[in-house]
Amino acid sequence: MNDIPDDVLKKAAAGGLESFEAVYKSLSGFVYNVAFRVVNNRQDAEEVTQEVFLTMYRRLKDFRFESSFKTWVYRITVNHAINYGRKASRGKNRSFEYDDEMQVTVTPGVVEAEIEKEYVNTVVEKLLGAISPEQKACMVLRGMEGLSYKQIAEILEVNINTVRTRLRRAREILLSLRKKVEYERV
Amino acid sequence: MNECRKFRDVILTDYLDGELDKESRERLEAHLSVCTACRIFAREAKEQLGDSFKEVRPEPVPEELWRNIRGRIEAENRTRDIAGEILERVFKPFLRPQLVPAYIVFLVFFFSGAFVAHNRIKLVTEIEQGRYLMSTLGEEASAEGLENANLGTAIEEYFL
Ligand SMILES: [Zn+2]
Repeated sequence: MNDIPDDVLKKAAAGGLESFEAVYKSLSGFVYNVAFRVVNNRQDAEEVTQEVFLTMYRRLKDFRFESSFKTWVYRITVNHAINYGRKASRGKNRSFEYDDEMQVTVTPGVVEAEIEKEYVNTVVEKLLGAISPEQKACMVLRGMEGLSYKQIAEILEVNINTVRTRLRRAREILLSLRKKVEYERV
Repeated sequence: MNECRKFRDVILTDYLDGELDKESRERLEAHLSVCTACRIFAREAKEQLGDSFKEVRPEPVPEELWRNIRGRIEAENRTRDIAGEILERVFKPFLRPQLVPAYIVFLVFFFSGAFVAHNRIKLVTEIEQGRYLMSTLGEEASAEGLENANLGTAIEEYFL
């Protein structure tokens, strides 16, 4: 996440759309990707991203500038993504549901390195589909953003041991799934 | 075995994420040096989960997203402006300090009116109750008398 100059933030908080566009430009990649990993599909990720920026625009004027802007943005993004993910997975049995589609489709003619990359992406996408939005949020903040347990706990407003439990549960599931994927690939 | 379970929980969390303090780390390493099963588990966990996300390529943000967001913000701002204008036009003329005495007079009239109405209802109820009392006593009750005079007196007269 890029650092945004304070004056740009303040102008955006006062309702300036040009400044808010600058805020969007520096944050949209992060917001969209976190949302995408948590909700696990592009259309929902777009919807979440829109909601996140609308919320930011509305609440920016109440933001206290002495607190961490990053934590604030992380929190809005992750909360929106988790809520959306929860709604999407409600009434649906998520666990180990796509054993059948574990096969990774590889476009012909793509060079070796590209195949590997495509493989990694598809695998991550599929693995992330098997864990809860809360678990995914922890995995994404840790794995993609490299945040510490303490930072993650602060963003999600949960106990640090809750972060540990979510990561452990997610990784147990991923390990057992990953073994399956590796096996099918050979 | 139970001990291994605890160490594996640590391996899947603090160990993988480099969050272990020196003491816990030494304790885990001591266990790994004597427990082959946990050593294999730790190695596999590191290989499989170590950097699941590091190689993931970021998804490009769709082009039209900002246009949509901007459009929604502008629509919201317009609605707010319209609401503000309505408020301004309809209610502002009534919010002048010169009108305060008029409002006070109005409120006094309103509440005294409500007070009178309330008492009247109470009186009517008392009269009704009086009638009922009279009829149960089997006496001839003059409705006129009741309505004209006040009830307390009528009853007093009867009992005295
Ligand atoms: Zn062991």
